[in-house]
Amino acid sequence: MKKIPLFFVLFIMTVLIAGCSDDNANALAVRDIQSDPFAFTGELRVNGIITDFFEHDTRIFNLKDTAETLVCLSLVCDSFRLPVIYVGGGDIPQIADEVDVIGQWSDTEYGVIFEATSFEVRRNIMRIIERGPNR
Amino acid sequence: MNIFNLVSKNLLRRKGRFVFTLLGITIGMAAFVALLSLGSSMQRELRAQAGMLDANLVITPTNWCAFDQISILTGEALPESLHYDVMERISSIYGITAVPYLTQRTAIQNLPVMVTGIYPNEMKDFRRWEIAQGVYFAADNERAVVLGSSIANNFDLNLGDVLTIRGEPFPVIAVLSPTGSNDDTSVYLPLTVVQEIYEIGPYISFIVARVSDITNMDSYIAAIVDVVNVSVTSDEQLLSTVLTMLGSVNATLQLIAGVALISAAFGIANTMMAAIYERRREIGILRAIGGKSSAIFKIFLLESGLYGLLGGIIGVVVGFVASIVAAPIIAQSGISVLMKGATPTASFDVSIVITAILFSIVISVVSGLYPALKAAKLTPVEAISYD
Repeated sequence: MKKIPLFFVLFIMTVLIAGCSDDNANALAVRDIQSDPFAFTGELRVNGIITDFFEHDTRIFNLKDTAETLVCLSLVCDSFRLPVIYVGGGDIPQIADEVDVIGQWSDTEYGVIFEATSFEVRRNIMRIIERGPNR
Repeated sequence: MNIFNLVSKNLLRRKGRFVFTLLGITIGMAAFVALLSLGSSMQRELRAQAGMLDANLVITPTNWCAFDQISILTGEALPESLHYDVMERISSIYGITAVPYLTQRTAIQNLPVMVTGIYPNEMKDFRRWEIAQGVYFAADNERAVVLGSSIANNFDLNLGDVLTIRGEPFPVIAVLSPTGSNDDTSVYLPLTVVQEIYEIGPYISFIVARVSDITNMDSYIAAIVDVVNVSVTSDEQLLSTVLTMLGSVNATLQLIAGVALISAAFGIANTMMAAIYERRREIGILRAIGGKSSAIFKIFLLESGLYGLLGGIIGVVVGFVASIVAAPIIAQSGISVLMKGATPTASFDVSIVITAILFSIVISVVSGLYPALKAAKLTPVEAISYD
């Protein structure tokens, strides 16, 4: 019987730790950096939705603000998009993926753009967009 | 032994089972209470922000989507979409006092902050700002910044410090007194300076206006729409739109908590059924010595109700603690897409406590009905002959 309180405490702690850990809490939104991008320096984690890839170089894609995309439910509306060049190896994300890209501003062959060395896919929101507004 | 002693003894007979069943209803109620508490605090926050807007009308471009409308209340940066001419034409309407907002972003210590372009004197009067430190803008094109109180505190900025915005240095000349609104979280510059450094041209984000006679709101709206092609929303309409959207998010979250509660209810039913099979002989003896079936029914129903009462009380406490822990996380997460900028804070609400505990008891009693009926229907012979 004495094991139950210990188990209970461990269980609650596990739930709280799982609930509280948010690796993406410090990610910047696209909207945060669009007006004054170079005010942000060093390694950055930027969260956004992939809207399209550059036709001639599929390492380059555009990121749109996640909150704006989820409320407006469109990838193509006239809004700011952050160009990102992905220089890491392996798979590349897909259109409508919500990603955190990790990298920094870099002078590339395309000018100064955000150079991502890694990314994390949180989810794909294509279904949400296709389902349309529910209001 | 009275019935309550009997019930509590029965519950504690299998302590492990009691704890796990209680845990089920507690977690369900905690989720329910946490979501209810956060939802109501978000609503309260939005109402407060709308009140602090202290304006009767909000004038925006006709093509703005819901996200932009919400961002006015939550204090997010907004696109520059209205030509400056609009401001002048609206200001010329009798009975309307209007101020323009041009909202942009920059970074301080690598964290995003809002930059607002304003008419210095008009805005100071309109928002009834008071200066805590320093000297406010002396000219409409002064190349300096005034800080909201939270910005100064959070980034430990003082008079004379220099902020770099779009690569250009701006000295801090004043800090506003706290207002309790989004005004505290912005860096202010004269409108023309923001238009110049952000290369925006003669554009602004939106306009807020106060009217001299609020009983005549419709005629003011008609007068504005008559002279310029804009969307005019009253502060109440704006709040109502946002609350409607927030309501649908809250309903979804509560549905999720509801699923947890329903599974907890099945847990209680399962526990009670197991208890009946274990205590058949005891039920038979009770019936044989004259115990009525209604008394048996009452005992089992009280047992399941007690799960609800205890689970409700513990769940309320855990739920409020969880909402305190979750509030800052939710403020930065996808759940609060609609709430970006308006930070939900945990709040203790007596009506939530009462609703949650009553709801918990009702769910538990309902889930205990079938087992209690089964127990009450057992005849003494059936019960005693059980092996």
